[in-house]
Amino acid sequence: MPKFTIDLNIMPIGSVLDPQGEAIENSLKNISNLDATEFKVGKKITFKIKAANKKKCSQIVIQLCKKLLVNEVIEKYTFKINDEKN
Amino acid sequence: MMKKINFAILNFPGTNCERDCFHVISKVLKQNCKVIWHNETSISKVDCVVVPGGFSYGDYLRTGSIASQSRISKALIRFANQGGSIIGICNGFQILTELKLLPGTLIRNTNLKFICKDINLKVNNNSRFTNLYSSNEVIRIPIAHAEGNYYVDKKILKSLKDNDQIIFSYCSENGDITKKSNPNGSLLNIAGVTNKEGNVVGLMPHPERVSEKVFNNIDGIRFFKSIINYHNY
Repeated sequence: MPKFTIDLNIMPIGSVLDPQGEAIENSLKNISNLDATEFKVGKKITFKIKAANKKKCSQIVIQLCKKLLVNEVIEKYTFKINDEKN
Repeated sequence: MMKKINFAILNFPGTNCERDCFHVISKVLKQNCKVIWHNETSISKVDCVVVPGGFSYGDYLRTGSIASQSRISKALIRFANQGGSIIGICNGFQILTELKLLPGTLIRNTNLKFICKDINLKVNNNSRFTNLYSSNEVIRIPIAHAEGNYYVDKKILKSLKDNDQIIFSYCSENGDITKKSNPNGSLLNIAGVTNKEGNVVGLMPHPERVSEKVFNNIDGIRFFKSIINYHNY
């Protein structure tokens, strides 16, 4: 069975307070005049899955996200599936 | 004469308030009480389960998320569905939201700090967990958390209000729900909610820490007495 590598990106949804993003933004104001705003801090999780094909693999990832990896009250997610050989 | 009721306290790696709860329930209130380790699979002959505070699994991933996948959690869901009483305090509240036994979630305090202090709480006494308080009574209970900022989407927030599920709210000394009296940024100053059925409650403050005269504050004891009262009638 092929093995896939998953890159899962989890971000706070827009309306949720992101204190880390705010703290970074405020901190950068002290060291730079660049107009960099709207920082959001999320997390990246990588893992591997053995599955028959990419579609099956995708279904498993979504299942894992719903069950544990993501809290959809406050987070949204995107993921990429890469073949092991890549 | 009230009959003794049966409590169980869940214990996960990183839980640290189980002894305080055990002391109040078994020594101060003289009830039957046992501690259940997270690897166990059943909750039997129990009236009320307490999920205590702490830092289960080091707060990895999200607070309460890893604990929500433990073996005992499956039994806890069955217990809830059968109408058993469940109390989640602090990290216990976070675990119950991750289990979806309670709506919403708890995110970082707006000031990014771990806050440990006494706060004023307005009590909604229309629940099995608060029936010995008077209506809108203001009590003083300590909080100790970094992630106590209650968040939920607008639709569910409205349903919490409509169904009278908001049980504890941060308030001023006079009982006013103000921005100033909100320590962590919680929506509507929410400190504790029940589920729709009313058999599960979660709260960030620690009533078990102010349940004996030696602490000069016994505002927390009626929280535990309320559920004993409920199971006696």
